[in-house]
Amino acid sequence: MFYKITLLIFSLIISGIFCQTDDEESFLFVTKQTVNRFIVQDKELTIKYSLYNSGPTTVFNVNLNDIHSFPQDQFELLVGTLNPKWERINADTNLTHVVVLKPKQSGISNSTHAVVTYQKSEKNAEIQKTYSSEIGDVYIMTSREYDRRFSSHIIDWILFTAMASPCIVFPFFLWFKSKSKYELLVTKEKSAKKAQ
Amino acid sequence: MSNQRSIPRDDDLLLQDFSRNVTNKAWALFFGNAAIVSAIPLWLFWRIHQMEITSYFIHFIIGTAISTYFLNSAYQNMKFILKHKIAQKREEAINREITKLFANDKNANKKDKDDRILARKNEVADFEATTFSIFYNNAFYLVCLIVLSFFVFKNFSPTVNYLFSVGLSTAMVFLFSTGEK
Repeated sequence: MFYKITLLIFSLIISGIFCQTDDEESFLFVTKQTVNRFIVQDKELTIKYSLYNSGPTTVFNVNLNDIHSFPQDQFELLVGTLNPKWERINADTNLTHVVVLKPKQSGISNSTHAVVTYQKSEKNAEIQKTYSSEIGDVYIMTSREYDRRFSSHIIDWILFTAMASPCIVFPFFLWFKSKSKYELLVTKEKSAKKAQ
Repeated sequence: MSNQRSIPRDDDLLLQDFSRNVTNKAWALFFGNAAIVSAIPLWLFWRIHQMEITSYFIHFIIGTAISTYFLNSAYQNMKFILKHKIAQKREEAINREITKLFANDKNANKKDKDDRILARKNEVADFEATTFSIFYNNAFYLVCLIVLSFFVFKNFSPTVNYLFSVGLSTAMVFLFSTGEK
């Protein structure tokens, strides 16, 4: 009796372990973010995708698709691809993908989720679909506005100073010259009288 | 006969001395300076605030015209106030200067000497008041404009920035010139 109960419990434990092994799955967590502080028309925009395999097993045939977020007529692709593929992502591993774009238009732009598909195991052909985080509505400022706010304009200031200086320095010089001449006359006479 | 000739000269000099009106030459000098000083900041608004001339020419014309008019008035007001102060300050020095000139001339009488002193005092006071008024008002206007445009109204739209910067700095220069005693 005791042996039967022990055998039953042992087989239950073993089957439990095997069941858990079959049901253990990995999930990909995908984040999408922009590295830029400001998004400016006709200037580079860097998008970073981070894929993290949270589970204990490797995932296969990972495919990220974000073409729909950055259409060709609005964004020019400079570096990287918006549809990368990876053969595998090992367990507990982080993977980063960077894309550099150039916005062609200014104004408000909405950037939605990227779609990531992968296989949970090599043998199982079932495709798992997941979505990245989204950046949401972003304001793409014009290059004129960017220059207005952030360019140093040193040459412009130097030229302005060169143009404005004669209007201030020249009248001051004329006034000071006359003032000095007459004040000197008075001080000379006073010092001559003191000497006497 | 000499008395009849000298009396109109005395009146003219006194009128010139106490009148608020400026001569045509002085008016042209003031107007020219005011126009130049009002136009120079347009460079900053065009290059730094990126205000295209083709888009904003109406604002620029109105702003420049208003600031030219009030700067011109400020020059004249300050000159009138300063002239009397400077005339009092330079009296002693000019007396000595003219006395030295007349020292060797024994034919000159006291009346001629006094006329000469008055004319010279008027001339020097006019010159110094004009130059100081132009220098001071130009410097005050440009400093006010730069502070208002690049610090106070920095984050406002270009139109608001231009109109308020030019308007307020013009108003401050004009009010300051009328208030000084």
